[in-house]
Amino acid sequence: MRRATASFGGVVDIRSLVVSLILGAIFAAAGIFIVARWPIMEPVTLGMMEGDAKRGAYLARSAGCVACHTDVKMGGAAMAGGAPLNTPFGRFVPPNLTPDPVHGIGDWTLDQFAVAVRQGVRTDGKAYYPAFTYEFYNQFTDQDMADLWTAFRTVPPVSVPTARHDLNFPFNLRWGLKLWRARYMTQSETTPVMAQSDAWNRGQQLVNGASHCGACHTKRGLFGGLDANAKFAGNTNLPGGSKAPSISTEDLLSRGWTVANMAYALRTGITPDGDVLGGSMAEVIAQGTGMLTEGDREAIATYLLTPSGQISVGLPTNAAASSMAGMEGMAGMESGGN
Amino acid sequence: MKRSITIGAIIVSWLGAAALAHSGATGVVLERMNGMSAMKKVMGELAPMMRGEVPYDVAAAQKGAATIMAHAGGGMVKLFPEEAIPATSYAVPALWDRWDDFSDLADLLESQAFGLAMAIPNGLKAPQPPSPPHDMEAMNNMADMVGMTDAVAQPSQDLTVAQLMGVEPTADAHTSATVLPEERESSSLDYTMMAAPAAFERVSQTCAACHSQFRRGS
Repeated sequence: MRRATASFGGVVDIRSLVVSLILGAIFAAAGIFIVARWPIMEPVTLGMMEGDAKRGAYLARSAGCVACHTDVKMGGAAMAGGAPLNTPFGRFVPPNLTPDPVHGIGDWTLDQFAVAVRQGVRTDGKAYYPAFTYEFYNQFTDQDMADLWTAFRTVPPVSVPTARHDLNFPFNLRWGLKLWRARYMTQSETTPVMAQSDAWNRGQQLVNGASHCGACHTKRGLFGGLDANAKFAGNTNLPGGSKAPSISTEDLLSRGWTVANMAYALRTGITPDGDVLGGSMAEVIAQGTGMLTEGDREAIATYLLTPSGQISVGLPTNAAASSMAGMEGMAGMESGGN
Repeated sequence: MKRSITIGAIIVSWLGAAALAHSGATGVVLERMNGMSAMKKVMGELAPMMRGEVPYDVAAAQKGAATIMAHAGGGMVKLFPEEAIPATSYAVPALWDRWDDFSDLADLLESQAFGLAMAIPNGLKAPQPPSPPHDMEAMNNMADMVGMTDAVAQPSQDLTVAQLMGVEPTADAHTSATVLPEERESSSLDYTMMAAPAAFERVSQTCAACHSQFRRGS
């Protein structure tokens, strides 16, 4: 056996060290191989389910699909790819989702679309990066998916390729996302609560689901996972440099927010003290919440402003009708006309 | 002697307090912050009025519109000379890199504040255009319009699939701050036929467009 004397005076067995290193490398490679092969897709069979384009388009708008996948500032075509997002993990580019068969998703099926949106899994079985906020969409119903799919296919196809993401090591190792998902992905809390008002339940459905407020208003850890102990506590490190304030109920109430002025702000950006929201929130309002129904804006506000454990007060009568129209998809709800 | 020292001390401390209120800003930075604060005060006072939560006060609203006009346009732009950005300032370098876009928004704000002044006498609802007598079709159309209180599309208008998917612009997009100046059609707007809240929200849309591009933070 060859031995060597290390600087601290101990004796190191070179051969055993080399064998250990080789074995370690083999185990690591095997581990990576296993993770990379680990199937994460759950099959769906929506087949040729019929969807409603108007419901789907409204959902696409409220879920941020249109805002993210359209480069509005540069006058880009609808859904043909969004402005790049510069994040601490690197640069993400929202892809072309038009029905173009080569550069868009024109060659997809409804099933593949549902897997992508609700599960965050690509057609090749690999995971999407959570810059695509699929972790908030896992409670979309089959009908929601059919509606979205129908709406997406009303958009003119655009034959423009999407630039690749440009990510920092180790975030560019896509197989690592499977570990990330196992650690950080949870079910969205959108299940209606019987004791709460329709507005509260609709607000919960939007805030924790489609509108994915927590994606910006909850800070992320070192590996980009949302901090479950700091839900809605704010994030000072958003892509583009703006800051998302706390939207915890306590903080909102202390800053003078009410259902009326918050619903108003989600359309106009005007805060209780007369400031006008800028940064990324201005875009959220212009391209998202500003295009929702008044009832849905009030629902979001109702949910955010009701302290945990308290029962929310119902909406004023004249707003209830428009709120109901937005909740057609909820089980057991009648859709009221205006 | 003592009295003048006292008065001087009061003035200096008031000035100091104003500077401290804006985190130690001085000079043009303080001036423009004060201008923004004045406009913020107006927006904060008028918003509940426009929501119908407090009594509608035409005189106060007109005064507010005039305040915004005074701090917009050339009055705003001259307070942003090209120089090293002090740490106290909320302005970002993009403001000077895209000077034409910034000054366009300042001018738009001035003209929209003027438009607001014109719309304020209309109150919370747009004036109804007169319909010819005994015109049943027109009367039926008017009946269909119950709930619509603005000649220009309501902020919460029912949007089409194409508008929701971003394929077509919304009704008010072509006159708003969100489109480039060369694409904007301001001449088609008739503020005298607009409800005051709609005119007010055009102002806030311009504030938002500028803040999102040229103000640090949120």
